[in-house]
Amino acid sequence: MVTRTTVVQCHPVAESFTAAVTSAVIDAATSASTVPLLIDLYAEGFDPSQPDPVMVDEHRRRLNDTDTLILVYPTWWSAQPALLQGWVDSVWARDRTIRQQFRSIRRIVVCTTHGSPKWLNALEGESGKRTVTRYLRSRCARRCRVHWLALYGMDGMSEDDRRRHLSRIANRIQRFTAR
Amino acid sequence: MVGKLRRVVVIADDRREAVATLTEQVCDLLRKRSDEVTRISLAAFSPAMTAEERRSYESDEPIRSEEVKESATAVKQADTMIFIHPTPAQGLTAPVKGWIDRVLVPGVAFVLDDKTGRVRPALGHIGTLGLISIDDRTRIQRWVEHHNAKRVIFRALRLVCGIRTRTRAITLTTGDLADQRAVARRLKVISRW
Repeated sequence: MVTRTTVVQCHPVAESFTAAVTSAVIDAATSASTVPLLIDLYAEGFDPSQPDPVMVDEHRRRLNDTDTLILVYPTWWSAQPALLQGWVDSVWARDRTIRQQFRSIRRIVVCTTHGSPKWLNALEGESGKRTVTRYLRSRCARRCRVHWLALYGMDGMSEDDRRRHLSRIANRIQRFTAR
Repeated sequence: MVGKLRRVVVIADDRREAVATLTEQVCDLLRKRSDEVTRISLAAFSPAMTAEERRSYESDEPIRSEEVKESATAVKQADTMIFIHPTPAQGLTAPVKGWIDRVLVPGVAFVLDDKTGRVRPALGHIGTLGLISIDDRTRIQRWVEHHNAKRVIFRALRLVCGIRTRTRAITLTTGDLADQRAVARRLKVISRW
């Protein structure tokens, strides 16, 4: 069975660590049985203020055909960047009367980075984590699993620590997509 | 005697007539108390942080555009920050999150200590953080999904304010906005902020 994986990336800088995480994720997810599909919100020019309805429909179509969704983004002010928040608001929510659902998604993997340590994020309430575990997950398959692969305290980390994180992510993604 | 307070009112989207009316009522109420009110409308604000802004985030000049500079100047002098925020799905809307990402940068909201690399709060002058949400979710939905806008403003943003900074929140529904008595009740509460 061919598994369908969609990777959503959100970072303005092409040479950022988030971009390196995305490359590691795509390499790890690419195999004979997996075809990863990349949605790079900055590169595609997604406008959160006035989203292009054609682009929104296209993203909904892709998500309807996805079983593993991988979100790659930096956490700013304990939540998703504004562009990703706008994408969630326009692609995942229609209005109060129509509940947008993507029942084919059985697994959500979040690869995010935090400049501050874990204890500080806990104090801040980790609203970004709640957006995924409480809101996005409720719109996916009934038994959808969420995997939180976060790097905390990135500001004080060495290059070696970051490389170790990339290989840890690659190992985990290979395990998820090989199943 | 309490001096003249400088209030910053940030409105996520005042293109909706009901939200624009509410914003006007809140600003009038604050002006009546002879406070100085700076109204920041995010209807035309670009929420996405640019690559240039991200690259210069930790430099001496993280602010790269005029619209951000104006907001940053108002925040640096503010005594109160009030967000008027319609909640279409959950959490903060993109304009407000984008405003926080782009305006509350090092040198405005916090200072990065060169020696320790730690974050030091710089919004100690803010006496009150207020959030007026227009949220049509049911209580159960709010309980299940959590009020993420509140979490970002009252927890993440609160951490870079002073130890005595108060947090105040009010939630209205779209139905409440059409009901003058319901709005008047909320305005009475806001007048005490």
